[in-house]
Amino acid sequence: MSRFLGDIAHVRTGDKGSLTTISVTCYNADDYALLAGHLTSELAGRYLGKRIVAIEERFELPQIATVLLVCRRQAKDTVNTSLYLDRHGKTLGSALYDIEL
Amino acid sequence: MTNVRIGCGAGFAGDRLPPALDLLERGELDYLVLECLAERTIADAQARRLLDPDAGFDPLLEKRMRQLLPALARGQTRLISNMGAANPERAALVTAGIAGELGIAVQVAALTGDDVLTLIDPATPAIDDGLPLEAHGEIVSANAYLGIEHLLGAMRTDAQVVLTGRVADPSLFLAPLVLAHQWDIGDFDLMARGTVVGHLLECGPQVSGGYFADPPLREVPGLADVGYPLAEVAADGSAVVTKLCDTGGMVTRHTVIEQLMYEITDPHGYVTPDVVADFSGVSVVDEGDDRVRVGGARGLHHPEQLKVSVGYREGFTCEGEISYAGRGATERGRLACELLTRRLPAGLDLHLEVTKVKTLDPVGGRWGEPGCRVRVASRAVNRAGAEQVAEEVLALYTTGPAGGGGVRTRIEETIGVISTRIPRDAIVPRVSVVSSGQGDPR
Repeated sequence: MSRFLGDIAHVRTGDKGSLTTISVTCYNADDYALLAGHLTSELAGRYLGKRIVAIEERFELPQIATVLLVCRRQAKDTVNTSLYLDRHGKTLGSALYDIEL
Repeated sequence: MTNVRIGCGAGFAGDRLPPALDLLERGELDYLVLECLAERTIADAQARRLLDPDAGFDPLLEKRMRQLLPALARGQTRLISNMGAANPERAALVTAGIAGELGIAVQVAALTGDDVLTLIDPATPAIDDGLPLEAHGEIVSANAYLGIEHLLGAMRTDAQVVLTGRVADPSLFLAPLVLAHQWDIGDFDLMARGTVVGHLLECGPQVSGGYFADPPLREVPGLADVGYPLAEVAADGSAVVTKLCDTGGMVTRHTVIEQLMYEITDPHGYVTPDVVADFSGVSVVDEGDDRVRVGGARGLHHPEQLKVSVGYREGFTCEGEISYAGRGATERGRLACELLTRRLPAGLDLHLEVTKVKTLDPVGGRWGEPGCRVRVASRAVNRAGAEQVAEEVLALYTTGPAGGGGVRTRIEETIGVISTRIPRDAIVPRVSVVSSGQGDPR
């Protein structure tokens, strides 16, 4: 049976200006190697869709079994000036749950 | 000194009111912090103050104070909040006025000095895009993120309530910790550890089970009555994050890690006015019973310059929506989009979203017919331009595809926010203290 990222990890999305931060944390620290090995910026970018222009940074934080992605949106796509319904972009990160491991 | 107990009764301007009172009555807190000021909020508040010199503080200030002041007066807890927004001195007067009306003796301090509109050079390039600040639009506000060195001045008064404008969120928590534990503000490891506490608490219930539920995988017990967080902070900066017993929600290793990484763009160098903190080595240990121990942050130095949020008039935004239901709804939604594109002036920055919807009747539990909701959003340089978009959405009733309904339109002025920096020593902090009855409750 196939497993998905959403089976092993939880995601929190935040925003700062035109940056989106997405933390992906394993429920069980034993899955961290699997997560860190699988969740590349390139793969995440494909699932996040076109609202994310680029994934600028990817941090591995083994101590807290977390991969942190820092993503760039368009310059005017900030919480104050965005035309999207979800101005913050808070719903973006949940797209990663569908990544097949 | 024993552990300092510090709680967070609001993590944003719109946060629920009752949990703060619960924390105050049962938390045996030394300090209660209400964090109510976003980047956008202060620019809006500044714009309100331009119209009315007595306005510009948090719109919920009076409601929150009426609830909290009686309980505050019965105990020793000090209240710290950035609800002063664009007008801390007026907020202090209003608070003192309410206290007088309620027959409560209290002193209220106001910290100002974050408003640096007259100190910044509009020709300075914005950090965001390198263009001069003034090229973005008419500048309406410039507020520096003050830190503990400024807030401590207000904390060292006898005032039980301390109101500020723009202060970095973690600093609202770090300043009382520095005061109570008599920390050396040049000890950057301690500053980093106190900053971790502030960062974990500053969004209120987001660390204690709010924004976490995802059933059936992640159930959060008692979310309807989610308890707001508090921390017990030791003299070495280590802390236990927890919540009151008999409240809903939960504090676990996982809720804490989510908040620890929330809106962090560099875990090796989180910048506040007080410290550049390395969060990458922070240990998060679940001790059970909604108690999570954190420690181990390292501090590197503090930045020489402070960040300044600059608000500017960006123009107007119009949003409009309309629904279509049943067979062919998506095609009719697409046609509505096409009509809007053709009828509105070319070159308009038009953003279209079509959302497929199936409505669940929450009472009957039955799904309705599938349909779609069309949403258009657009920017305009002036209100008339925005109105034109709203009018075309409304006109889809008679001139659009069949069966459209539920039109809603909304126009608002857009205050954009960009950033610059200011030298630390350019800030002139000012603290004023008023007593009950000195102000009027408006």
